Amino acid sequence: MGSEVREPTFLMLTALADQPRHGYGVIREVERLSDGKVRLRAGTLYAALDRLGDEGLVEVANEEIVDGRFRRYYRLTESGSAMLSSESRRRLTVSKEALRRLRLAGGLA
Amino acid sequence: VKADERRYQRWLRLYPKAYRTERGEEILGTLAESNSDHHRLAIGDLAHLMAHAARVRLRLIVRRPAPAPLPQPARLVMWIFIGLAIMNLFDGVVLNRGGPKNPGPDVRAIVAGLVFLLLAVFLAARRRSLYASAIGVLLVLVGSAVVETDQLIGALLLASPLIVLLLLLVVGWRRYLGALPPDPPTAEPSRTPSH
Repeated sequence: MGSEVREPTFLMLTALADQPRHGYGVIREVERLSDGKVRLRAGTLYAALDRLGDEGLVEVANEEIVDGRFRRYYRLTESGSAMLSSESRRRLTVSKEALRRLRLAGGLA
Repeated sequence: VKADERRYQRWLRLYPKAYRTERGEEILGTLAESNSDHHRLAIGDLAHLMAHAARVRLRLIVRRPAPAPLPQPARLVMWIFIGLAIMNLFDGVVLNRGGPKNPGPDVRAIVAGLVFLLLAVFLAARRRSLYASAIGVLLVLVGSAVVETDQLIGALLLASPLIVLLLLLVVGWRRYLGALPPDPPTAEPSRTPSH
């Protein structure tokens, strides 16, 4: 994976960090995490899952049928967790620096 | 299957069959859950689905291993067809423009060129039915040449190049079938309901 992790991908990986989720579960969780700002479409979701699966960051946890509908649950792999962890730290460092600079400039409310 | 899901299922045909077999039910479930409040596929969902399906198809094309060369004599006949197609198309469009009375392109030569091109595609497609169709088309061409001419010997001589190609294809039938790739598995993977 390239050095830049785009926001929807970051949110998807975060959605899978605590427990396996199925497609619609990921969509809902991403919407919740982003305060409704990011609404994944099914096509985008499965394109990302294909890519993350190819990169070894996400894997299938289990499958089940609920209310007659087939669900496949995904979870982070070890390298997916490591990647999310390092990306989160990087974002945190940048955010902290941004807040520090704003404070110095007196622009922080 | 509910009516909504049947409608969504139609859109899944945008995906290649192998991907649909692997992921179709899963995507269908996600679409149904995402659109449960308005019972129709949102335009945005449809656009993203189409984009994803196009990407999957493109990925399949890019990753597809180069096919093994056609077995002989099908390969030889295919190249002869391509040569005949180029000659006829060049003849019809550039060389023989029908003379002063008919300055336009020679339609008969162009049609012949297109027929040969189609036959070459039939052979290259690696499908038993298309190979058989190529033999059938050649039979029709030879038959029509015989019917149109009064002298049988003369007609056979005129059509002898096509007869040779026809015989080559008939002789190569078994070899062609032996080189066809095995049919992809079509069975759905078995799944156990959790409740």
